[in-house]
Amino acid sequence: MTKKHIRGIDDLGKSGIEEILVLSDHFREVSNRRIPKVPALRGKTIALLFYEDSTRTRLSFETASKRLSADSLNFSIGSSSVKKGESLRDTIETISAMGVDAIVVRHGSAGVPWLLQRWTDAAVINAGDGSHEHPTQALLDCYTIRKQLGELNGKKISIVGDIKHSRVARSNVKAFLALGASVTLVAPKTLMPFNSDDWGVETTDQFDSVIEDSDVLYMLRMQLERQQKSFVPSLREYAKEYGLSDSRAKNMKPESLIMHPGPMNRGVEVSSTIKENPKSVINNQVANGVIIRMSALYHLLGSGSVNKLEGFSDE
Amino acid sequence: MSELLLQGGRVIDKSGDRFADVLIDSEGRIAEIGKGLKGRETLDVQGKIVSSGFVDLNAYLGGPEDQLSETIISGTESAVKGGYTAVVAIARNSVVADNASSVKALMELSEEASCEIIVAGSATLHNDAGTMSPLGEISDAGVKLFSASGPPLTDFETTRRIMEYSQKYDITLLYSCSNSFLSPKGVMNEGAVSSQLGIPGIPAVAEEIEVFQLSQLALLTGANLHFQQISTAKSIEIINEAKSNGASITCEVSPHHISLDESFITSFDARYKVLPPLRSKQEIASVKELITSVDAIATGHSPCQDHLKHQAFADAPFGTTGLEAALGASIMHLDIPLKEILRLLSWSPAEIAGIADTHGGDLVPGRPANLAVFDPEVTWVFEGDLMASKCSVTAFEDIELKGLVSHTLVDGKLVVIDEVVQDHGK
Repeated sequence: MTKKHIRGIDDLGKSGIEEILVLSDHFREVSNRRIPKVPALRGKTIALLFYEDSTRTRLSFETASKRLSADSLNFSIGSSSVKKGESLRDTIETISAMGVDAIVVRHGSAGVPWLLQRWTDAAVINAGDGSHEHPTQALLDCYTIRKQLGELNGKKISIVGDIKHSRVARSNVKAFLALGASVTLVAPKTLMPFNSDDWGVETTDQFDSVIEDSDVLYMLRMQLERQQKSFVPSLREYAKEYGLSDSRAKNMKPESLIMHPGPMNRGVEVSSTIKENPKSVINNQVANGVIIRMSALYHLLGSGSVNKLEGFSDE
Repeated sequence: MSELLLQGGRVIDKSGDRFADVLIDSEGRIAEIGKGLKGRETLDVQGKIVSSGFVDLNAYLGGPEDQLSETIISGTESAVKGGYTAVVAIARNSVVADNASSVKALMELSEEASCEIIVAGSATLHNDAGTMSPLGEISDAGVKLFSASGPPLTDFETTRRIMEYSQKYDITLLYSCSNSFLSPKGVMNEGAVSSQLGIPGIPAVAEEIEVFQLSQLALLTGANLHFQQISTAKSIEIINEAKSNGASITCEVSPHHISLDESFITSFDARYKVLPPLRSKQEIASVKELITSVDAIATGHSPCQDHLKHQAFADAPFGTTGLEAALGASIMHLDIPLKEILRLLSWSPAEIAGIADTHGGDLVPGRPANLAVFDPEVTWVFEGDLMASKCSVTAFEDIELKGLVSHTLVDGKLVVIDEVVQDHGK
């Protein structure tokens, strides 16, 4: 059997995405239990390898592991091991030698999950690689949209902001297209990837032209930390041209959604009150994060039926 | 050294192509070329090409402070295994030939070498890229080529002064056009692939702007320039136009740039991280169309310690080895006559390096026997672990090549026999 991985959305394809979304309904039920824990992955060991700080994603994977009764090992690795002369390969081979079943990895450089998979027998889950992919974010976004709108097929989703530096955008475009949505990327040309016309999406630098038509406005975080030079004249001008203000939100059609992968720069890509807007499902996204990561881990490491996940009684 | 006869090969040099035996005298010089010759020791080279040895204009061979990447011994063994009889050693990092004594120290290292080493000087001071090095003093030590890529090209004045001042010594300035002014974080070609992978790109136009700027300065000043590792068709067109306007310019392309394209990077393997970056398939096709106006194939041989390439793509150093792949990649990927490939590998770079009296050129009696013997038809798959270079991580891994060197002679001495590098025992 070839080892399964979730390095990028292409590892799953439409059927893999569907499978994880279906699993998520089961794990949603588990999460609502009084003791939200099942022994589904008891005896499995999951290494969380974070080369880049991420409290939210790391906690979400750690919680998911615990709710599945897996053991999780936390490695926070700064750039120091590189400076000590240890290569990425050395690190991965060392961790693999400890006997782990899955490695969840976040790294500041694109492609690291693909390299890892060559150096380990463990299943690899990408928790974000540079500006490349963030597949579990895309999965939880698909799940959130599906819960709200029923399905993605035929929906118009506009992703707005710093597409160029966004791993969320790259994974989401693939996942949204796979599930039949149409996607428009909205950004000034400085933040639009070169050749993004080839991605099977529409592109525009006119935010106002898509607002009334979109079923979902997916607002990206301005990745201030990833930008070396100014890609926009000022954050104020960016907010004016591409920020989702309350007045822009009023032009959205009924039943449409506002999404954001967090953390938000309030007053930049979204107004400070947008989270409270009735169209916002930003809190749902966060809540679905743990569920999706349980599904992703179970998809790779679990066996047997999930129709009846036996839990723990609470006496 | 006893008399040696290379029997039954097809001898190709700058102005000839014939089936003939080559007799090498005990001094290591060509004694005679003709049919039915006799010698004390005979090497059967039937079915093989006997060519003037290859000359690489651009290789890094380690140095006193970097013995782990490559050494003069491993680097030149790699060279002779690839059919090279002379290599221009480009210093990097702290080993900078910016004064006569460093140059002499580097020249002494070549005592250990399996082939001739041509030391390139540096046209600027190591610790002050805005200041010209003593070109006269270094040139008096026997240096003809000077690496001039140091200062960012915004420092046009220094660049111009170097070009003007250099002419008294009839030297050639080497420029690699890979400044990062358009893409400080770029690590691969900018295009559809970089965009898909989210990896910062380097646009082709960055190279082309630099080539244009420098070739205009060459026209203005009359300096001799050589462009290293040109990777786009537009760059070659710009160079051709400057040449036709009278500029004294030459240029090289590297074997990996004509054989490997950016799509290899979808594996994220840092072995494909090179500078200039691997370009698009379309760009490579356009470069190949212009290959007959290029002056040399040069490897840019740039070994590093293997573990440095076992990093994330963005974190690994640039560079690949190339000395052992150059012939095979050229025959495999260039749809031009063999003699034209040999021009690019042998006599044309020998002229640029100023060593045409001993390398390249015509194989005539009296000349030192610097020769490469190879089978142009054999196809083989490159394996880094089997190469003589210390660095086994190479962009050519698992790539099919055509043409394999079986013997190399440096000054008449067989340094490679049946693909095996000989102990040189100098």
